[in-house]
Amino acid sequence: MENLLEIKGLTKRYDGFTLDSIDLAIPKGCIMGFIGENGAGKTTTIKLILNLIHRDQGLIKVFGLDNQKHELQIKQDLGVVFDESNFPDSILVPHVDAVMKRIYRNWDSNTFYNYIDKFSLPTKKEYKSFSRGMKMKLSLAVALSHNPRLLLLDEATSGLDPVIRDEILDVFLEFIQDEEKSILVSSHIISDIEKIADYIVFIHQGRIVFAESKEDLARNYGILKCTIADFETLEQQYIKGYRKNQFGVEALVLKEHFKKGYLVDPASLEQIMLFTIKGDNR
Amino acid sequence: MKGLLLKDFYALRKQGRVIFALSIFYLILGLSSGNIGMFGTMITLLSAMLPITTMSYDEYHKWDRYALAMPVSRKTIVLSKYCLGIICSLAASLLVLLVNLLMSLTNDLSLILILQSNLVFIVVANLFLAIVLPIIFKFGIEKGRMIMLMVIALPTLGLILLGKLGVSLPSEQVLIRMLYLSPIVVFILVFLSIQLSNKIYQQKEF
Repeated sequence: MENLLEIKGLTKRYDGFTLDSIDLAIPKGCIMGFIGENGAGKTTTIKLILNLIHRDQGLIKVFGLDNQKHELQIKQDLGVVFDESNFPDSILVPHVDAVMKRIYRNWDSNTFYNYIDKFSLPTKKEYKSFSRGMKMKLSLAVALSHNPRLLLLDEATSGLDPVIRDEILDVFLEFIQDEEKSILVSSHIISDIEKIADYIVFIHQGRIVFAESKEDLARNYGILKCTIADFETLEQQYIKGYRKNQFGVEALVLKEHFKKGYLVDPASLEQIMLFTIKGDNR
Repeated sequence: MKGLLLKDFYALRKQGRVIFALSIFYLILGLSSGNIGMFGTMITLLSAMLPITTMSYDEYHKWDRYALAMPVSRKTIVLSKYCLGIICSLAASLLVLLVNLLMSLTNDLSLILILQSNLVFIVVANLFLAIVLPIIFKFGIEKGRMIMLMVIALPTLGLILLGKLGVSLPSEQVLIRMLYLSPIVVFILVFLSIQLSNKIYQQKEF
């Protein structure tokens, strides 16, 4: 079994939004960045993986097991962090340890307290006095302390200050060191993802626009700048999106088809995303 | 299950302190005045409310979603709320029993009366749970609260109405026989209530 997570044809219909036949595979030892605007379907996908909502169609396999038939077994080895904090106000760090010890078979208090130390979280203060960053770190410590094989992080780094975000990103890199574990991290903050992810999955209006490795994206895509007149002569099938302004045209192109005589700059992840959804598509 | 219960107890630390303080207060009041009726009623009401308090915390913090991301089944979550309710009602009645027994040292309360009133408390608290929990699982805490109030108000109004219409209460003997039968009835109701809550909770999306 090579893939820790496999999703095929996953569909969920809401009024006004459909998650439309999503395919996704996460191999071992990688960080997969799941990007897209708010409401694009990132959280819906993660909720479907966790069986928090009921799917209409499709298949989800985690660790090679069906996510509905082997739900509890799978969840023993999953670490999950949501965008919001979830503990009651009056709880203390040792309480969290006591609770999780009784929920996870592989709970390791030592690991947990190591993370608590590492994140310098107070053990005698009530949860409600924690800052947003501290709450997130506590959730992350919980997610990491039962020897999980796959982390699912839904907007976990959003709204954190850059210092804390950096600390957390380091923890992620450490986590996948042994090449056996993986992370799926969703975010609309692209700089976070660009920094750590090996693979980028881009979802837009409930559909996957692309799923490629970061190297491939950098190798394949470029920003071509030219005049409007020149633009009309280009082969349109290799243009993924463009924006016209008074000085000319900027277009997101497949680089290899524009090797000679064109001015092609590297495209950032943000540009790729923006041109694909905001630009005038061909 | 144990983990979920433990989390609820930690969440209720403050309420625990309040109940403890109240007990001391009523104990002193009761010892000096000899009136203990209020204490039992108060504590029963409070204890029956505790699972609902935890459910409002859960809803506010989206705990259910988090718990379900862990190796915890939907059935376990439902069952844990009933267990919490039953544990709280038993603990509360034990507390009332203790206080009443202490009282009986200075007053001439009969043991049988104390035990009977205790049984009433347990039965009422669990009957309340059996009715209210499925409602909250179904409608959430906000709407649930309104419906809950109606559920409590309607029988009370009904009783008053019956009294006004001149329907006399059954004799004491019949009442006591009903009291002794009531645990079985409540037990069955709680069991059915759990089945209903499971059905409701299984359909929920988070």
